[in-house]
Amino acid sequence: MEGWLGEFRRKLTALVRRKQIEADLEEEMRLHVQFRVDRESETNFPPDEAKYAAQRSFGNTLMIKDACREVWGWPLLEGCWQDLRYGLRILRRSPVFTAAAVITLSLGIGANTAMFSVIEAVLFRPLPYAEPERLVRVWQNEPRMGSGRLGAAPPEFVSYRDGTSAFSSLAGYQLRSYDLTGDQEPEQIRACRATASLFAALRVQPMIGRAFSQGEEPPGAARVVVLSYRFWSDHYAKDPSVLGSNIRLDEQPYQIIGIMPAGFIFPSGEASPGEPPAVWIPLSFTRNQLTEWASSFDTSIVARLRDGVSVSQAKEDLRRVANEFQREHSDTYSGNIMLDPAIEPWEPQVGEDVPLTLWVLSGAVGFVLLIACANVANLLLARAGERQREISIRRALGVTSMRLMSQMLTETAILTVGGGLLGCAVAYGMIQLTQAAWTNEINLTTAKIDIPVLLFVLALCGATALFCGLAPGWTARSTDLNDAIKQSTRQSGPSRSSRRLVRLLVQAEVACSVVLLIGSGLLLRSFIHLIQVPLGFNPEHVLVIRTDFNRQRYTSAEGRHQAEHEIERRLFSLPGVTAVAVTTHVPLADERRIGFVVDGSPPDEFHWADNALVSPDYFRVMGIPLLSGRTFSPEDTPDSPSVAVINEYMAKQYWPQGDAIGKGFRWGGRHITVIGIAADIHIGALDKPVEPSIYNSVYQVESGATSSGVFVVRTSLTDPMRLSKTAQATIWSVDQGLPTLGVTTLHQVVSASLALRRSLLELAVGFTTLALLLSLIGIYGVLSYAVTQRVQEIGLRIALGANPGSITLLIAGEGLRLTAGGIVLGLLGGAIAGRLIATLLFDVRALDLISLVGGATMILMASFLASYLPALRASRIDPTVALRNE
Amino acid sequence: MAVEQPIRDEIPPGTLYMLILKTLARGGEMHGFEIAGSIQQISEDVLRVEEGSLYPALQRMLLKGWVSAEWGVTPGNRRARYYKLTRAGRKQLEAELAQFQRINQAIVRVIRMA
Repeated sequence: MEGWLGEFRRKLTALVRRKQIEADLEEEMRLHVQFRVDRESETNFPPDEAKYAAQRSFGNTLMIKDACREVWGWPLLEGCWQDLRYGLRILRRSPVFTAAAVITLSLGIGANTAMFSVIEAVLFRPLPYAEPERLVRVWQNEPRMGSGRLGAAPPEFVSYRDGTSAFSSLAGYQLRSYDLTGDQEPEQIRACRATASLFAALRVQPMIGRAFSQGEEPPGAARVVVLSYRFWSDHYAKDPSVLGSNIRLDEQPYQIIGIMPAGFIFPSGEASPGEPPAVWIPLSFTRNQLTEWASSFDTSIVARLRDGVSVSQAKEDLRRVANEFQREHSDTYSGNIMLDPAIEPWEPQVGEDVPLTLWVLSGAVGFVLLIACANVANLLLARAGERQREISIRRALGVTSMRLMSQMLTETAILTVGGGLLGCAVAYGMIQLTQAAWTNEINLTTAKIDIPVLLFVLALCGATALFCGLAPGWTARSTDLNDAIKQSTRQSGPSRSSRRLVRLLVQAEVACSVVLLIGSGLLLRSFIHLIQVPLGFNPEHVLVIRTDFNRQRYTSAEGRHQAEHEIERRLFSLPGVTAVAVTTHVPLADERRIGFVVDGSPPDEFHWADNALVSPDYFRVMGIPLLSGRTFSPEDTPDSPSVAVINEYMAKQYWPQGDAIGKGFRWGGRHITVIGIAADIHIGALDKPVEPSIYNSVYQVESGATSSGVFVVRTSLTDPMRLSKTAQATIWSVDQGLPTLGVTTLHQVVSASLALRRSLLELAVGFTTLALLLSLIGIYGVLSYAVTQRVQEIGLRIALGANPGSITLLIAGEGLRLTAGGIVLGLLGGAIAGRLIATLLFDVRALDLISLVGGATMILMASFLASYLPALRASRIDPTVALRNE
Repeated sequence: MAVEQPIRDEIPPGTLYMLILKTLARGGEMHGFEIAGSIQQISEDVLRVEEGSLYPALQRMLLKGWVSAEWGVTPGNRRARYYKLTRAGRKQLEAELAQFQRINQAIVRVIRMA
C-alpha cells in the first residue's frame, strides 16, 4: 500500500510485533559487528582487539535502538501513556491528598450531574413527534377580563379548524376522567378526548390497528377507543388480540381499534405532573354544545404549522378567524368578553415556576462545583510548590515546559476522571433521593443517567481538569531554576504568582459562597412569609375524600343530591366527627372560575370569580368565618330562588357602599341573590392574591362542569387519617360503585401546594451548606499551609518579643484579608442573583438588607472559624525549634 | 608507515536515503554491512555511513515501504538480513535523484557565476 495509509498500517502492525522488530534489530546489529570483526582482524588487529575496535566504531547500540524505536513509535500516544503512568504513581504516593481531591471533585461533579439529568428530563427531552418544532399550542385569552389562558369553546374550535389556512392540521383535545368498569376492578382512568386530526397533527400512528377517523367523531357514531401502550400491557398483558373487543367507560362500551406505541403519552410530556392518558377517544360535540359561544373554554388546541408558514403568520390567521366569529356573534362577544387568540411552540405543561426553579438550582450547584474546583486547584498549587525541586531538576534535564504542563494536566485529569466516576455514583444516589419530590408541579421519575448526561459529565470533567490543572502548570513554567534547586525543601515554597493565584481562588470561593448564602436567605425569608400567610380556613383535623358521581351512574340531579345527603348523614354519625360537608372544589388544590354580571351593570360586563358548589356546613367544616348573613339551608332547593355566599373581597369590590347582602348578580343564565359574606380564603396558591369567590349550594345549583364530589370531614382526632378506612366504607355503604380517590387531610393539601417552594428551599440550603463547608475547608487549608511556610518568620517574630496574641491576630487578619475581597464581590453577585430570582420571591425585596448582611456575616464567621486552628498553631510556635531548622 | 587518514566528509543531510536506495538499486539484495561498505567503497572512502545513522535510516525506509527485508544466508554461511528495493522505493529513488540534480545544478550555476 502506498503513501501515508501504508505507513499507518505498517505502524499499526509494528505495534503488535514490537518484540519481534526489536529482536531482529538486535541480531542484525550483532551480526554487523561480527562482520566488522572479521574485516578488522583481516586487516589490522588481533581478534580480541578487533572485537573491541569493532564494537567501539559501531557506536552506542542503545542509542541506535532508541532511534529505531522512535521510528516505529507513536510519540504522542506514548507521551500520554507515560504521563498517565507517572501521574498514577505520583498520586498513589500521597493517598490523603488524592482522596481529598477526588472526594471534593466527586461531590461537585455529582451534584451538577444530578441537576443536569433533571433539567435534561424536564426541559430538553425532545418531543417524540416528527418535526416537533412545527407543533404549536393555540389558546385564547380575554384581555379585558385578565383571565389567563383559556381553551376554546366548541363552536370556536370548529371555526378555527375550518376557517384557518395556516395549519396543515389542527386538533382539539380534552382530558377527562372516566370510570372503567368491567370484569376487572372498577377504577378511574384518565382519557384524552381528541379529534381525529390529532394523529395527523402529531404524525403518529398506532402501533397496532388504526386511529379513529373523522367519521367516528359525531356523537351518534360507534364508540371507539385507542389504548396507550402502558394501559395495554397493564390490563391485557400486551395481547394483540384485544383489537375488536370492548371496554366500558362510564357504563358505555367502547371498541378497541388501535394501540399506540410505547412512549406516546400525548398531551403529557415525560416530566409533566399527573397521569398520562390511558386511552384516547374521539372528541365529539353535541349540537347544543356547538352553539355555546364564549363558554366552556375546555378544548385545548394543538396544531401543526403548514410548511413555510411562520408563527406570526399563523397568529394573524387565527386573529382573522376570531374577529370574524366575534363579529358574527356580537351579541355574545361584547363588553368584557372579547377573545384574543395566541400561539406558541407546543410544550407539555409543567408548573409555571418550574423552569426558573431548575435554572436557579443549576446555578447553585454550579457555584458549588466552582468552589470545589478552587479547593482542588489550591491543593494542587500547594503540592506544586512542594515539588519545585523535582520540577526544576526535570527542567534542567531538558524537559520542555509543554511536557511539564501536559504531565501536570494528566495528573489533574486522573483526579478529575476519578472524581467524575465517583460523581456519577453520587448523582445516581441524589436522583434516587429526589424522585419523590415535587410531584405537584413536576414529575421527576424520568430523570436518569443516559447518554446526554454522560456526555455532560465528560465535558464537566474536562473543564474541571483544565481549570484546576492549568493553575499549577502555569506556575511551574515561571520557576527560576537556580533558586529552586538551591533552596532547601522547607524553604521551597510557592512562587509569588502562585501565591497570588491562591488568594484569587480563595476570594472567588468566598464570593460564590456569599452569593449562595444571600440567595438562600432570600428564599428562606420568602418561604417564611409564605407560610405565615393566613389561609382563611383552618386546615387542622380535616379529612378530605374525593369521589366522583359520574353522569352515567347518576343521571339525575336528585339522585346525586340524595347520595350526597345520605353520605353526609352517615359520615356525621361516625365517632370523632364534628362536622361534614361536601364541595366540588378544594382550596389550594382545585380551581374553577365563572363569569358573572353584577345587577345594574351592562349585560356584557363580565367579571371572573372563583366558584365552588358546597353544602351548607362547608363553612363550619373549613373553619371559614361567616362575616354576615347566613349559609345555605334546606329551604334553598332547585325550585327556590338561587342564592350564593360570596367572599369579603367580592363584596367590597362590587358593592363598596353598604351591605352586599340582598344584592344580586347573574350567572349561568340565572339570577343569584347574595345571602351571606364569608371571610377571604386563598383558593389558588398562597402567593396569589385573593380573588372574588362565589359559593353556591351544591343542592341547589346543578354542577354542569364537574362530577367530582369532595367530602370534607372535620374531626376531633389529632390524626384524621385514622378515620380514612371507616369513611371510605361509609361512602361505599351508600353506593358501592363510587370510587374514592385520594384520601388525605386538608393539612396535607396545604403542604402539597407549597411542595415546589419547599423543595427549592431545602435544596438551596443544602447546596449552600455544602458550599460553606468547602469554603471553610479551603480557607483553613490555605491558612494552615501559609503558617507552615512562614514558620521561620513567625519564630523570628516571637523570638524578637511578639506575644502569642499578636501572632494569632496576624494570622486571623490574614484570613480576614483573604475573605474581604471575596465578600465584596459576593455582595455584588448576591444583589444580581436576587434580581434574577425575583419572580420566585414572595414578599421579599430582591435587595433585601437582612439577607445581604446575613450572608456577609455568615461567611465572616466561617472565616474566623477556619482561621482559628492555624492561628492557634502559629501562636504556639517554639522559636527555638523553628529557627533551628534552617 | 603512517596510515593515511583519508579525507572524510559528512554525508550531506537528506541524501542518506538516496545513497542507500541507489546502492540497493545497483546491488540488488544486500545486508546492512554490505550497504555501508558499498557506499564507502564507491565514494572512495569520502562518504562513510555510521551505523548510528544507517540502521535508523533502514528502519525508516522499512516504515515508508521503500525497502523490504528478509533473513538470508551469506555466501560465507552467515545469517544476515537482506534488504531489497520495492517499487515504491524505486519511485522514491527517481524522485530524490531528480531533486538532487536540480539542486546541484542550481548550486553549480550560482558558484560558476564569477
